[in-house]
Amino acid sequence: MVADVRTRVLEGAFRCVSEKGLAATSLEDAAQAAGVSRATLYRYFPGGRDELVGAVITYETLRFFQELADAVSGAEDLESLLVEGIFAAHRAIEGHELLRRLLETEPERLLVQLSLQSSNLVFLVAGFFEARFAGHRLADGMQPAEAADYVARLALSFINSPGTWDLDDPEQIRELVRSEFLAGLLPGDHNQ
Amino acid sequence: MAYCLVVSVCHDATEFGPGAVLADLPPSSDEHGTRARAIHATVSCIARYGVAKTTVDDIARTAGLSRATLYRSFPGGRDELFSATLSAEVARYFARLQSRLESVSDAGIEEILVVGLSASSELLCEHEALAWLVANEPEVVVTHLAFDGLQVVMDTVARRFAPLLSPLLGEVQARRVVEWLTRLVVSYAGCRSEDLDASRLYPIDEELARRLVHQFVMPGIHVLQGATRS
Repeated sequence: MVADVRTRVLEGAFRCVSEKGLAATSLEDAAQAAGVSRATLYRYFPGGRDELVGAVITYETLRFFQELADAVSGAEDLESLLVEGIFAAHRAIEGHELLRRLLETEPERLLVQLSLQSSNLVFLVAGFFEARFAGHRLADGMQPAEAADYVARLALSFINSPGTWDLDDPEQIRELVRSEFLAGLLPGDHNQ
Repeated sequence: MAYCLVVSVCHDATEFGPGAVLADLPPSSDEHGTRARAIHATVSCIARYGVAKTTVDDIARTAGLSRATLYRSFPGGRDELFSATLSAEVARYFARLQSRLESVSDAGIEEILVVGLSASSELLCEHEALAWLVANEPEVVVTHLAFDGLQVVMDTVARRFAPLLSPLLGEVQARRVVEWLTRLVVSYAGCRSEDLDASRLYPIDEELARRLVHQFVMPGIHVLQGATRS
């Protein structure tokens, strides 16, 4: 019951942000969109508007990564997992309407919120990879936790900023994954 | 206020960092001297008050210059002063990084990358004004750490430092490697996984740099070189 209300509030607030942006979304707007009273909203977000806005961004970020994890769940090996994941993530980021709009209209506000969550994001994505690395043969002296932290950081960086790589080209992504991501992770005989 | 990173060699770069005393700076009787004093004072004010709250009067007072003199050198006013200060600080950072790299230029690529990674990170994280902004006025900094802003940073760093590596790696791979190291510096600066404090900068020290280069970057370079050759 508790989870339902909180989710309803977040989804209502998300709709408001989609329509009005971050700065213009008030607590009243969010309460109305969710069909709850201000009092109810304060119970779930005692920090008020700022806490709610932060929570909406977290919610959408988690949803984004959950969808990505689902999209690559069928990958047959680590290389495919990363290649498919980077391809899908790049497309999803490029095509994310609200993200594009906020980067244009309210970049500082959005990015300050995202940066507050950056260590949570690294932790989340590293956790996903650590689970996939467990039981996988890794290079000498490489622990799953260290490998996962490294891959998570690099993946998050590439997702929002491709550099000189063309992330619409699966062949380039494959070259990227084999070199910058996996060359140090996998045992020495891997690239024979 | 938002301002753009300028991709150019900045003639305002000076070796005088925040520790310099006004008396050490060139006299304000010449144009170069005035600019240097003004820029030095702007950095000093930002480290104390931040960007939004630093006024032209603050800068003039700190620099020991009149407003009139300041506006003569920077007719575009506050915006031009801040823009010139950013360019100058970037150029000064690059110059310091360059001299660290020169000390290992004969030592082989792994050592160059270790010094590049650790020095670039340490020089960044110890910058007082930058640290103040990260802690108190993050909106000024964050736009350079992700998305298009990060593209610009990687491009700027690569233009400056990829030429150092291209004799060893070729142009394309040199560029990719410099971008790669820039990503790591930015990622680690933003957070350590164990520590959730988003208001400070975390440098990559020599030990971590050595580990990252040896374990991840060098094997990656071998794959990149192998792929090019085949």
